[in-house]
Amino acid sequence: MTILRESETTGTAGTFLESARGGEAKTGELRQLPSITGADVGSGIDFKREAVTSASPIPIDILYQAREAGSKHFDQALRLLESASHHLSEARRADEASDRIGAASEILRFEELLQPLFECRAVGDGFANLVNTIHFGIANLGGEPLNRDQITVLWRIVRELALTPFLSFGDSLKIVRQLKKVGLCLNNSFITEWASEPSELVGKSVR
Amino acid sequence: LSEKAFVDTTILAEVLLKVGDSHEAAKRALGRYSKTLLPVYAIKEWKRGQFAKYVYIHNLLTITRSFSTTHGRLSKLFMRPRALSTAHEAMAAATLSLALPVSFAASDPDTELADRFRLAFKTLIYESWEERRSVASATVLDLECYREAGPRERANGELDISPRDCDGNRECCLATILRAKKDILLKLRDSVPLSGRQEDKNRKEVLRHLAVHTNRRFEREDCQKLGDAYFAIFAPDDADILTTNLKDHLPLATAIGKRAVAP
Repeated sequence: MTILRESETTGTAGTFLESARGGEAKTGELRQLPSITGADVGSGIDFKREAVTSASPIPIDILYQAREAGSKHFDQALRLLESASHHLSEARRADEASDRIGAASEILRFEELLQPLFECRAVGDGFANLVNTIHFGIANLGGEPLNRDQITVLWRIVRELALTPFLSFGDSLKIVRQLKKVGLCLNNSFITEWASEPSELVGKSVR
Repeated sequence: LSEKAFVDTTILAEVLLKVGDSHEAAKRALGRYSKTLLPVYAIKEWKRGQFAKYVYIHNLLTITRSFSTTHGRLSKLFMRPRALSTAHEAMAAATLSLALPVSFAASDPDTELADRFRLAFKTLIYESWEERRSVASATVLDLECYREAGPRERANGELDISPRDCDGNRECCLATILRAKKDILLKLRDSVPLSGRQEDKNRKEVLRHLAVHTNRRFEREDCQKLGDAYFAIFAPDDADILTTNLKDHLPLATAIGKRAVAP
């Protein structure tokens, strides 16, 4: 492992954190970083400001991930999430005012962002998994409009994701459960049939 | 309907990884009983069967990074008719279309589709594993020679679910219990239909070995061959065997005075 001198490391983590957390995380910790392939890397990597000022050098592999975070995918993801959050806020407002067309129009704008958001999946598997599950969940409604609970859960999740885009795959599963509770489910008949042999489809052999 | 249900593998598979009417019916059926018992044997069968299939598909998607290659290999493995194979590929894209179709302006739509389904399968794998012991009100009859190990991710992203089977270095932990039930074993053997199916032949043979050739070692493969007979033998007398596969379970259960019920 290559170790950089302290002079080469200070500042990078702070800048990245501020960017990832909208400038609120000056002394925060960096939890989950993406790899170049988008796969999860180890969790629980904690930066503390004290550590930066100490003599401990930061390994190059951690710095490399931080640089990745500044990639175009990350910037693009944050922009799209901000936009998604805006449309969901507007949809909530419209829904509360019983403006069904207004709410549906905002949801439409939100749906249009799901594809470009998925194209930013190099940010990490947790991020990609959430975007993908939301996409499946809405598609599985088969054209039914989202109800108030569903809009609110999406709004909350998208806002949270904008603050913590580097969540691990495991952490994304906890959020997938919230989506499932309001009827935004990942599973569908295509997946079931695609993964089944003919005998299973008629409820017979499971062996 | 009795108060208690002994849940078989088909119900577990239906609840954990299927959707639609049969899935809903299975959940409703479980809700009708005050007590539902899931034997670990059902978890073992489910893991070897449906669950392992999901893991295999996930790993194929991970390795090939291609939806069409994965799809082609699955079609051959599952011996799907050619027409159905083509339809599935189109359906995969259609299943994701929202207001706009999935953007095939993406640089590599095949890789993108593979990534989408890889993530979906990974989520279903982890979630179903997490939920397996919540399907029934109690999970019962642990198997001493079986380790209930969940999925683990390898460095290349593949999932590892080993061991799929029981420990093969020792005799099956059920052997002694089963040999003490000679009358039941013989009744069950006689109730297995002469259908010509390999599954039935295997079951008949293993029941005969257990009842008659008591010195023969009862291997883990024999335990697998018991299949539906396990549920007839181990279901409590006051419980219904709840299954979607009544055709196979009913003759076995009836032969020893037990009940099999479909959702």
